[in-house]
Amino acid sequence: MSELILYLNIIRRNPIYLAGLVIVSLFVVVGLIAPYILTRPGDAWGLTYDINKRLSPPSLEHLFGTDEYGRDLFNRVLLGTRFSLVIGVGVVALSLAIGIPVGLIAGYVGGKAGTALMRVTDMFLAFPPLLLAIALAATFGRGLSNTILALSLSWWPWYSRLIYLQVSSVRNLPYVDAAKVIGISEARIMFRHVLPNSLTPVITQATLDIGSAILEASALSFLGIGVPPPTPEWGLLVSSGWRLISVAWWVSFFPGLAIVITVLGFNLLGDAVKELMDPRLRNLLSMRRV
Amino acid sequence: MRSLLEINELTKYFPVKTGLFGRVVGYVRAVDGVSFKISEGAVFALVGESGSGKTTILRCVLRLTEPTSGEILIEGRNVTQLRGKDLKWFRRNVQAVFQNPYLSLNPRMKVKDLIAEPLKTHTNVSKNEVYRKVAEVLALVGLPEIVANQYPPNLSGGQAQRVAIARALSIEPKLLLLDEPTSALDVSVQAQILNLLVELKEKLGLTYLLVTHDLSVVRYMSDYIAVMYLGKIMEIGTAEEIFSEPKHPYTLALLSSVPELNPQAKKLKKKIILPGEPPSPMNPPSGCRLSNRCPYATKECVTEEPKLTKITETHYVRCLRHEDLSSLITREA
Amino acid sequence: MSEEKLLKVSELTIHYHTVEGIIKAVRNISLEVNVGDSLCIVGESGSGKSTLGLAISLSLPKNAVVVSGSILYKGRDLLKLKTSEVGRYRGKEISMIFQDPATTFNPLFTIGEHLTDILRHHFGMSREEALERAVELLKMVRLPDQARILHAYPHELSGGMLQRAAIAAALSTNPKILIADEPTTMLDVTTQAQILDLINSLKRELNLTLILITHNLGIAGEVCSRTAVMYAGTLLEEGPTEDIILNPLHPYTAKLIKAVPIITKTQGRLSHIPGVLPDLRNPPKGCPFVDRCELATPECSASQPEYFRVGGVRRVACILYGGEHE
Repeated sequence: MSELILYLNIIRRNPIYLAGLVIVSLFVVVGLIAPYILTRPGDAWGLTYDINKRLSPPSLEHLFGTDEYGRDLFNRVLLGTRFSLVIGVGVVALSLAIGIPVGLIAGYVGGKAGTALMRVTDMFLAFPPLLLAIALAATFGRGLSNTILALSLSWWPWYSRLIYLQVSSVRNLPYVDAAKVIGISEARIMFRHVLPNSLTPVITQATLDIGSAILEASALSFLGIGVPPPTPEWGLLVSSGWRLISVAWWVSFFPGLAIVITVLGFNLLGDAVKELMDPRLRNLLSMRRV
Repeated sequence: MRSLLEINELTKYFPVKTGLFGRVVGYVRAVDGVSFKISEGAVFALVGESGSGKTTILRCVLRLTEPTSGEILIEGRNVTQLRGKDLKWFRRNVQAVFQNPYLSLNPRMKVKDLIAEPLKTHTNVSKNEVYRKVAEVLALVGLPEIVANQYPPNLSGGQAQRVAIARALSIEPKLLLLDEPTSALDVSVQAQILNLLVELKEKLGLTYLLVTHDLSVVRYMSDYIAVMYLGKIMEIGTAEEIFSEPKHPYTLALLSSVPELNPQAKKLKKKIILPGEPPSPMNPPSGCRLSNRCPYATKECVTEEPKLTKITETHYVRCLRHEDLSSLITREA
Repeated sequence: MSEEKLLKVSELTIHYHTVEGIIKAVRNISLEVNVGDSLCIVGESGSGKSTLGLAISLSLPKNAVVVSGSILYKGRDLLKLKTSEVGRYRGKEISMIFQDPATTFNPLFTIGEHLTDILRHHFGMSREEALERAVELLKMVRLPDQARILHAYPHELSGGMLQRAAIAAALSTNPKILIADEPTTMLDVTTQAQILDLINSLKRELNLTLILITHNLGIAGEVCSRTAVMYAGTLLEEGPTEDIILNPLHPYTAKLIKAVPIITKTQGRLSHIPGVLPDLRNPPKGCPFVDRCELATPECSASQPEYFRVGGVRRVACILYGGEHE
């Protein structure tokens, strides 16, 4: 508990970290409650339209203006937060769910199975991730879950590599030897002693990656192989306004801004997490004696 | 007294492989034909510098490394062949304390969970019982109960090493292996831990195998000593024999290289500084392993490999010139 | 005193600013070192001995703050140097070697590149001159086969050889003062004996002024004529090494000596020091050892004891020796 207070103190003292924390918190909260605070749910979900109001510029009534079907963009961007949250968290969670066991088994159990797992990992790593995601997304077809799946399949090898490297060094630490000497089962050693001590860099990376996942999902939608319209996904919104950028800048601008701010927020928070996980800080923590 | 631990002709060779294709190009002879016995209730010290093989022996005894050949017997049972229930028996009876408690205790587990782990693995005690037992062993090593809720990084070095000792002793083993148990600690803390180890040995009737490079620690608590160099025992005997009548030039060099506190004793002491550094155990020198650094080496020392020679019932030395040694030293002085 | 001291540390106080609070690492320390002296600073972890060494060698980390005091080197206050002047002293007049010699060397450069870089930077030597001098330096620290070592990378050398190379690098600028921070702690005992022997001969040959920082009183006895004992950021006593070992004045020193197992005889229980180091964020107002001292009186916790002179050449911060003020 006192560690949490210390962490918050460090974040509080650094305005950049604080900005990251505020943006991400806001993003998560809005993502969670968005469907319940919509003023024009029909517009947000793309079920209604009003041709008379098409492409009206930002005003008090329509804060972000309207799109080519006259739908309120503010409501659409607001609801888009939820999709981005689902995609960002979904992609990272699914990638971790595949990457961590693979890396853990390859690093701790080793042997032929371990080597085989790392070969598969290396094969995936040979492709540029976004290119792989595009290929997979095109194969799977459009849809929210397909987008998450395509991105996760191009990402998990990075986590399995990271975990593998960590586990390979942690497994040689004296406390693992000590656990063996005590006669603790290999499975327990793996999950209780090795895994928790190998997660630090993965947590840092995962924080940064939520932002990148949102960005890449938007890219897929922009290319027309991600989430299908009329879903108010940010990338899709940007793409729909792209042709109209000279007549109605706001259609692409506000969802684009949402993407930029969110990705920036996760990057800043990732930096903060990196510092909080820094072993030097751990050392300082460990200077506290009973 | 019967032997609790007996080691016969133990060898451990580590293959050295070339980078790209993993072809074996040679072997590091980390332990090369080592034999000794530890009787119940004794403190046996393996002394040597890095590369002497002392830690490899300890790892073999703990089954953290598979020996290349030789036998390790605990109460007559061959350790390397134990399986299932017998292996569990072995784990319960042979425990270890390592050098750096901050590294040998999982930093993300509370002290009480660390100590409960061996209890849960080896005994059928209930949950309440476990934590009562944890408090009991903490008291045994002189720690207050509040330590149970701490994480190891928040403890001082001495406290953390006490936790490591408590953890090893919680399941009441017969043999405790001590791997440089105090070399990561401050002097004043070292004294506390050494006293504690001696007390616990008497109280619980433990047997210790101590592995260290620190001769003053050895002197303080050992009954028998084996001095190792490049994988072989150079000299073995009772503590009194090794410290009062060392017969091997390497033992002499080790003894004289310990910085002496008393300035008057220092003036009387003859210093033997060995030139150079231990050669790689991958290709040890021919003949006696110390021959290229020994100030008393002759031609025979380079060509002939000395055997462990009996001096008394308990004292053995591996040196061709051990009979001349005392006269050689007095002549120089 | 007629001659000027080579080094004079006066009332030095250093704090570290950390997320955990302000750690008062060195408190009100005064020391003097003459040309050719060898002074050992003995202490356990948390005593502030390394911080003192880093301060004198102008190598304090960024989060260290010198709160007060001065470090006069040949009459010049090192703490008041301009940034542009620091290079003239650090590594030049005052060199330092560390516990882990690997920290001295960048793993990507050979020993030869390191030595010649320093020589060319400080003396403007040509490549050939620098190489020649580097070979001499390696000979001086008794490293055999100098040509091979010049081309070796740090990881290719053993700990003992690397520490010798680090000593060669430290001495390459002809410093007046060498600060050695636990130079043998990571080495094997027989190698430790070699390095101490080397430091002893270099001290004589080069008339080097040596400040050795160690936790091992035995090493102090092997190398240094004078010893200062530190505890919890303060200096408890100072005097000739032999006197301190044979007849320690401060209760802490006495306890520390008794806690070391003696190799020449068997002994019963070791005497240990009960209790723990005080919290350096909030050190006791009086004597820092008061909580662990059997002889402590209420007066001890009232205020930090002054130094008392004993026998002309010794001083101790303990009221047991009250009477003759410094």
